[in-house]
Amino acid sequence: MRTVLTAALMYAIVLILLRVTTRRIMRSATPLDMAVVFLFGGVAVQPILGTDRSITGALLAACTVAGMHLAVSRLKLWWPVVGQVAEGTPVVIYSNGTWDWQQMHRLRIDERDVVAEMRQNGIRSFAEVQSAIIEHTGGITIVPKDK
Amino acid sequence: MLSGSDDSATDIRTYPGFERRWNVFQTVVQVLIGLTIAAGLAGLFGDGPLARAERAVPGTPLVLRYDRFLRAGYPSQMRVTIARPLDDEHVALDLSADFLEHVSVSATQPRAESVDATPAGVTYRFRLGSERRGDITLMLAPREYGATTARVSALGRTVELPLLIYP
Repeated sequence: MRTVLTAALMYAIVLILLRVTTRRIMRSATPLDMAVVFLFGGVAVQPILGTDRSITGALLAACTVAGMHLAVSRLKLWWPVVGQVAEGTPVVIYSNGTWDWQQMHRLRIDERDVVAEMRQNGIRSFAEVQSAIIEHTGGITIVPKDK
Repeated sequence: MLSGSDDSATDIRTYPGFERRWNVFQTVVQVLIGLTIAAGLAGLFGDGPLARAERAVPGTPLVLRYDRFLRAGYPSQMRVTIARPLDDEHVALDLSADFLEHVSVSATQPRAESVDATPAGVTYRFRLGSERRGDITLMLAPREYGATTARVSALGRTVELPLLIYP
């Protein structure tokens, strides 16, 4: 019974904390948001199945993770460099027929990733592409040429 | 904030009233998160400066150091310091039964010479050696949450230690 009640309580706590911590978390895969998801998962499971079965300890740890996320999210509004460090910046890897191979090697992205993204956007050839950008979320944005 | 009438072009239903109330709730929760972290750092949930307590057993050279805030399932310690040499090489510590209903003693350091159950609780007897002083550490494993009082008796004196055990 304890496991069921603890799991239900931790579900409610994590739900509320996720809801008040960030709205973007399920759409965005920035390190800032992923850190919250990973840590919440670990923290919430501990009192349900782990050896430290203290709910107060888990609540305290979850609040600390949420507090850190809120603090860093606010700091990045005041000092953009915080956001650049915590989340990264967009990088242009293809522009007007030219690949930036150095950036692609650094980001471990190859041409096939870009082509796959092009296909998903209904673009069939590079003749239709103005630029390709690796976003700070990890996604690839294809900007089509003006027609 | 945009209202539902501002976005007629995209035909989307918004809930500005709910969003306003949610923003208030969100601010309250964020403040509570900040207070919880501050309380945690201070030791209000155990393991911090506010949690640490020290109590001398009156009329004896025994001093107890313990955490007044414990968490069920999270181990803690109670340290008994014998500051001056005792008359005897042996010392007995009595722990009350109601305290032991909430907290188990998982081990002692040094190992107790004998552990005896009594109607009032459990008596741990330690051999101090020729110096007749030293430190005794009781490893505690809190089990049941709630407020309790640890009655610790030694050398014929009793001291009461109020404790709060969080779930």
